[in-house]
Amino acid sequence: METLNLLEPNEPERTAFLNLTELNNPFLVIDYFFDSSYLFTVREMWWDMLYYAFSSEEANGLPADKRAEILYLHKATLKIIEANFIINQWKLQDKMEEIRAFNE
Amino acid sequence: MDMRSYLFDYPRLKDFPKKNPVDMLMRACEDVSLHKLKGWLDVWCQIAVISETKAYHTEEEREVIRWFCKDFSALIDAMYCIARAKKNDVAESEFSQELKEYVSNYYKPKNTPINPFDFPDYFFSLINVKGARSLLWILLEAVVIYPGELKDQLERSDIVITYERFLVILESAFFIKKLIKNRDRDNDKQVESIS
Repeated sequence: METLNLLEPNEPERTAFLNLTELNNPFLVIDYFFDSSYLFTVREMWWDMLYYAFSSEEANGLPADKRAEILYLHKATLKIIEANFIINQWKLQDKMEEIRAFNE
Repeated sequence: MDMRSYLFDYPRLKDFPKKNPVDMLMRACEDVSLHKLKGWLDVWCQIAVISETKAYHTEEEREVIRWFCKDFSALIDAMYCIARAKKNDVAESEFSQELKEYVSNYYKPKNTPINPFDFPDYFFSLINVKGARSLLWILLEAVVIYPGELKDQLERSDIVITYERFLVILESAFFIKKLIKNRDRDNDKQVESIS
């Protein structure tokens, strides 16, 4: 069941959005993600999120540490996405090599 | 003011037309004065270098950011001059007015001012585009996490928009440089073929 899971602070390591199939094979999530979106598009959309977060009226009232947290999370998430992109590329290359070896 | 229309009225980097960088440059410069743009860059630079956010740990890093801001400020001068001259196809006499302003504000008074169209080439001979982008990002980080009050009529909600303006100026300069290089190369080829 997909849920925001903000009500279970006692289980901080528990996933909230992965279904059973995805829990058993997390590569499915990565594969699906990069199958449906380009890295550039993701970066663009992610920048939009930051743009709206910091351009809102509420942004004026955010304390410095909160702003730092948002910016850190923005950058860290982008890094995770890009790292997953590389992992996905490696997986694809491995698959290609397997197919090549099989054909030979 | 409706926040959405307020946001969408500003030039967005994702709309950046690669084939016509001057158009985007004009949009980035049309509703802000040169004085304000350079003033904001100055505030950003001060925050990054002097503040206690410690974006830069060593004096060398601070020196790099000071140097970058100085040259980037001059790039803003040149790009602003181009944007205003190109706006509504101003007459040649008016362009000379823009040039006069540019020359009188030139950041190295003892040197002969570089033509605004040639300035991008000079700027990117000092730093490559990736380095400039990353320095702008570092400036953004320093300003966003700065806990103090912002000076020079710079609102917190304008930080990201201002960053995009700086980035548009940088990217436009990079494309103008490439366009001019390509044009020169084509001219050289034509001369070679004729001779």
